[in-house]
Amino acid sequence: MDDKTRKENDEPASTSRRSFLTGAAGVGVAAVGIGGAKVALDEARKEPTAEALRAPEADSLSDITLEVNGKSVNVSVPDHRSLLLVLREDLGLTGTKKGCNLGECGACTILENGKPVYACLKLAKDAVGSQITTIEGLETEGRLHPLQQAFIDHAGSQCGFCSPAMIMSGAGLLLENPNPTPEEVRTAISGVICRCGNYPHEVDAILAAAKTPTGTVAAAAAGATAYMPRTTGQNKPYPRNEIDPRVEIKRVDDTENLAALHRPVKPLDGYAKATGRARYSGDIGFHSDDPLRDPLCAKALRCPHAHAQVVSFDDSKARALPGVRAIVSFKDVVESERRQRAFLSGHARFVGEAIAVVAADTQDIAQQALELIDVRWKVLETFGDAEENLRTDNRQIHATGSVCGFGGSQPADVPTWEARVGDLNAGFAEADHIIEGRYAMGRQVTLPIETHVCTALWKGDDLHLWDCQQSVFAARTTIADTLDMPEEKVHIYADYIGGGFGGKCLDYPDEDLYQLYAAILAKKTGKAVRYEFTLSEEMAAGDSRHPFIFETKWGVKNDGTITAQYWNVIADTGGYGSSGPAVVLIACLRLVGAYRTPNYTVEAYGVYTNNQVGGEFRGFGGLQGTVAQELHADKVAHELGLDPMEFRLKNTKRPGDLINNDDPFGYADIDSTVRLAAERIGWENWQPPSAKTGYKRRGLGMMQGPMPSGREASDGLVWIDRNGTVHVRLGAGNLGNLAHTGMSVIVSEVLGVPVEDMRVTWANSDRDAWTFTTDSSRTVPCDGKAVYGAAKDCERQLLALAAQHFGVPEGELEVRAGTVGKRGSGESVDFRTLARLAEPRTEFDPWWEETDQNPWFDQNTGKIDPKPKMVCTESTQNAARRALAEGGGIVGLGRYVYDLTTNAWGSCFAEVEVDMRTGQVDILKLVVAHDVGRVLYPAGAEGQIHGGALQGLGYAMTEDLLLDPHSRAAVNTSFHEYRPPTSLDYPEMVPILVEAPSRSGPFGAKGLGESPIMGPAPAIGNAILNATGVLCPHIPYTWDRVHDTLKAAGKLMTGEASA
Amino acid sequence: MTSPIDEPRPFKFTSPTSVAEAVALWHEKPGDAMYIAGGGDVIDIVKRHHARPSTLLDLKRIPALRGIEVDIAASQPSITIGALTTLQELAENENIRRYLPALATAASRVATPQIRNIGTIGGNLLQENRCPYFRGPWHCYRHGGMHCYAHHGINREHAIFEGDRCYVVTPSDIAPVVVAGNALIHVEGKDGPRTIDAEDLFMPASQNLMRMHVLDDGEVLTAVEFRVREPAAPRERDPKDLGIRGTISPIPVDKRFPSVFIKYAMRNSFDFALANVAVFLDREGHRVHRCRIALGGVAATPYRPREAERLVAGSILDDDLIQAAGRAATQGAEPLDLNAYKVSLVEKLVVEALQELNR
Repeated sequence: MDDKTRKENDEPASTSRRSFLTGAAGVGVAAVGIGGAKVALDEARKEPTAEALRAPEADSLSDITLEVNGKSVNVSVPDHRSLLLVLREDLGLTGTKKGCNLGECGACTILENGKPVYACLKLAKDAVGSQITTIEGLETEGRLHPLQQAFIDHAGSQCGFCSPAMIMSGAGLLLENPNPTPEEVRTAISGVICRCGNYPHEVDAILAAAKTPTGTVAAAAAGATAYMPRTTGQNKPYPRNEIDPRVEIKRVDDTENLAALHRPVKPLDGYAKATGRARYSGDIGFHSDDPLRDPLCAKALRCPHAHAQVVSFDDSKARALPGVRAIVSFKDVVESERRQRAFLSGHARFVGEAIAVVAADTQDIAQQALELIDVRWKVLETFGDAEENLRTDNRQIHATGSVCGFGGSQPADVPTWEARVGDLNAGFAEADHIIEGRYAMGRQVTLPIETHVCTALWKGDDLHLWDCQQSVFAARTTIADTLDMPEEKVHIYADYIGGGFGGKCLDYPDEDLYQLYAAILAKKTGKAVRYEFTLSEEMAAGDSRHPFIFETKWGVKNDGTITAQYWNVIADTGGYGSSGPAVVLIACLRLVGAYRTPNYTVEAYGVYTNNQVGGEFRGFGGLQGTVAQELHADKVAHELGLDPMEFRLKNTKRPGDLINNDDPFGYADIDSTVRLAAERIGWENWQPPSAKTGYKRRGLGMMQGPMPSGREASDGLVWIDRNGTVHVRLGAGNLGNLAHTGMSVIVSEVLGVPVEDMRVTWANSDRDAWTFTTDSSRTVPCDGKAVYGAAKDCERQLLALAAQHFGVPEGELEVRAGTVGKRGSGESVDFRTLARLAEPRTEFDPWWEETDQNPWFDQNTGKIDPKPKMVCTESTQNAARRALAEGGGIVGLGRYVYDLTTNAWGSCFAEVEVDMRTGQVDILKLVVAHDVGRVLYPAGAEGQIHGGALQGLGYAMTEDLLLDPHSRAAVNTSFHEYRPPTSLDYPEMVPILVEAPSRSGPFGAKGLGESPIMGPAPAIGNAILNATGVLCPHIPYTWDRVHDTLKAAGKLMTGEASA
Repeated sequence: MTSPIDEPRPFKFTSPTSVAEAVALWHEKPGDAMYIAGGGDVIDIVKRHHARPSTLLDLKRIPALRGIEVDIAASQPSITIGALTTLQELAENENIRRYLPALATAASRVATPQIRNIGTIGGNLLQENRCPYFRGPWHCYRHGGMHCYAHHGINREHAIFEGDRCYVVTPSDIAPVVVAGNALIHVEGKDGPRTIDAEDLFMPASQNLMRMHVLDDGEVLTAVEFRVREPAAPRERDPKDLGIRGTISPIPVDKRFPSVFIKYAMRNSFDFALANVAVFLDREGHRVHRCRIALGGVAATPYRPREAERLVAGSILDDDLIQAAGRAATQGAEPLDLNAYKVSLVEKLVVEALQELNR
């Protein structure tokens, strides 16, 4: 969050990084016993062998002159170094982002002679003679480029990692075409993937910039060549009418009182992201003002087999390679009983499990070192089929059982989770129809554009990590625990995260602990070490959504009443349990929690396989459960000849109904959420499949249901320093969901200070308020309520101080716009004066109200505490002490424990067109409606809906990490073959928000982070059913699958092309 | 596959200024040097260590490889396109759009704006295949192994025609156009220049599994020559026809055009074709004298459905004939486990292309 202006161009190129080639032999490091992961002493460096010294003759430097942002820069680089690395690492121009590094994501888009190109596909030496423009070069004399301003004004950034590339693509377009149409803009940015799915806002921002009357765009365009249409040849299933990204909001009546909630606010981090100044974890170490310079490069050696045991491991040649600073292997790791998965393992249970890590002076050397490590594997039998492993209770992956449970492995006859309510047989006996189904889902990967990256540096006994971490506190606990260190000695900073979606959340045991690679190598070498995933590591070793198989049987009466549901659920958790049991649980809660059913049974198993480890991903099981249930609900309605919407509204659980025979649903406006969306899609035109003819058939589909909205506890911390400045210290990681802006609005509402005048910080484990995690759609409802409490706590103290100041009772005073004034009079005193009156606080009891104290499940004891103690964590108290020591004043604290009845509600409607000859499916329109309780920040909510729907669209249509059936290695580990949606792949989208305040959320707000991803897959599947009469039970609905399903059903048409 | 490697082995980058110099440099280290033009494919390959050249020979600074020469007045009118012409230039060039609309459309449908700005026609034609097994760590036929992993693995995007041990497909959008357009490919090697029929440029799986094209070692593709004719009478376009997934070439040309290109992919940007088609007709009124159809994405080379061509040639195009040609185009298709949809897609492509030409 350092927004100081820098002149990076003036920095000389770093050539010293290569001086190690001749000097710097062994780095003597004392033996370090690092607790749970004991690492052996780095032995004295051996004489390099001749073979190891085969540094290619080509590895010499050339002196070249680059023209970057209008300046000549001399750099000395090897021929094979890409322009991207030279810009970022040698010149410090880290506004240009490194994503896939292979020309597949577009994050490194720059302008070469005014034309957008990928810097990762360009060699630096090849750029000699070209005019290179990066995001840093767009500003002129301190003024922002109109595109940058437009990105700030129109919420053009979510995580912001693709924003520089989007802006550069836009700049390239506007140079040639100052007045583009929306389609031309969509085409121009179609070479950059926005994984947050913020395309509508990005298009909006570029169009707005084009309309800017003055500024550099118009000036630059005056000298440009004649305009040539850019849309040539693009096929376009998207609608021709201009898409209005604005969200439609159904407000509750009381909102007039909430002034701050209705003031337009710009995103807090918009400036940093639109200018390339935002420093993501991967950017640390290349600027003069960074806390470290030129970190060592770490690389992991990974097992190429799905199931194998190391027979021998010899890294002597690699150690002898000059420039290799340390190697840590599985042999150095003492396996901890606390973890099922060692972070380096000699028994690989999936393809890509790490076995050793190397730190070297450069990436080239690290890569070469990996090749010099000799590993012999004993290849073991591979077990890739979850159903089969469960049937045979396969113990070869984990000896204690084939099923992952909450307490570790367990035998196949013990389900991970089960529920039995009512009398299932009686329920089926009562039914007029028994309808069965089987549904399967593919493996979607989170695939953030910023791959996982972490830089570690030890200062004495303190470990500092610059990690792309959603949940800094949970990660701190896990890392400290694994290294056997006190928590306060681990410091995690995550200023900006280039997309997380759950995959950058370290809160379950047995998740990939890549942070330790950097940490342990840093300890051994005594230097900063950076570990960065490559694209294929990100896809195959990062988090993926668990593939599920659902088998179900419903008993239904003629009138559509559901009498019984039976579910058998199998999730493929891969080689380790990790978040598996929790994912299974959430999937099942959705199964039992959506439709009123007197008798139901659910048996669910998370099963080990030799596949990629399933992880956390937006939706977290709830999505898989939703898909299965909503597809089956439509199948039932279809077979009974009922309108799918009326069938759902008849059976849906409503506020007051029990989720799973225990806790009740809280308030939600279900009818508005469903019926408003139905109106927008034109549900009144819904016809059964029998009414459709021709070879191109359109269909409407829908889904609806409860949506997750938080968990666990949060602290809030608001500090008014002795200058009267309000600091909001948020513990949540900044995923780009704009929740931080929304939470600042909450503080603004309480204290009357505009958001722009506050100092908002986040995700620093020392400075900011503790929060459990940043996931499960909990940031706004949980952190938001805690920060509301903290603001109220400030208000309380301000009123007390003002009462003292004026000598009147507190009841006669009120907080208004940064001051405390007497009611009904203009007399007031500002925060600054009051902050200086304040005595430093010594007790740290938080402010909370009755609805904030909710039953709390203690993970350690497994007990539920109905009235947990409302105190802030030690971490937050320390942060409060630090703030007071730093600048005195008033500290306000809040505490909130999650209220289970905070449930959002959502619906999604889709219109599709299916080609009955080929199985091609085109999505024509999506309507996504959500009851979010209270809209705190409309632009942020819009972005969440667009982005969630787009990821859901990818899940529905293309995204599936395919494993080779024999080797179980992922086959499509590139963007090209995995295919996340581009800016030309989304249909008309209509976002709708409904306000139905919850009991305990801040101003009634509920979560929205995950909800929008739930809708598209089932809604599209049901629309395909409606169009064709055939249910496609396997996600994603790829061309081949729909084709084969239609063919198997005898519905594939041949011959007549036009009907 | 999980590879921790995404930076290339060190190499030298040299920029010769003539084709002869480039060829001479290549032969200094036969088999150890690679040519690079736009780099979209080569950089990917060296970053993934599929190739580890010691030298990259940059062709971009050879002036002779640049430029588009249009010679309409000649007795045999032709357009000669320098190998370094970028895809964006092809898509925008007035003459290409006028005389070779299929080429302009195909160029504009490749990848992304950024790739089109660097990608060249020569590089696009000679690019490596995209089989994920070939590009992954599998030691398949094309790497000298004795196995095709796709045949009994993930083969959703593989060949339905002329598979022979290996089932890769030509990934290029330009290749079907040069084949259907009966272009001439000019190349230059150490024995001097020679010319190849475009159809013979690509290597069938049955002949050689180790390469995608027939260029000799060290040969440089210098130019692509199309023999062209003046487009026939103007035609009306119905703007509502800008339909689904590239069914119709949306280039706003106002002349009736003798060629068409259509591509279907899973995404509208950043994607290789599941299948694509280029059709060139030689006709008078509705009577077709000759017809050349080439399909990409269905075989290792651009595939010509001869039966469909024969049906169309010499006939008057009408709807029945077009449907018959579509069906005929699928003759001989042998789908694998997951790519049966490509058979219906081929039929659809041929039908739609002929319908477009018959408007």
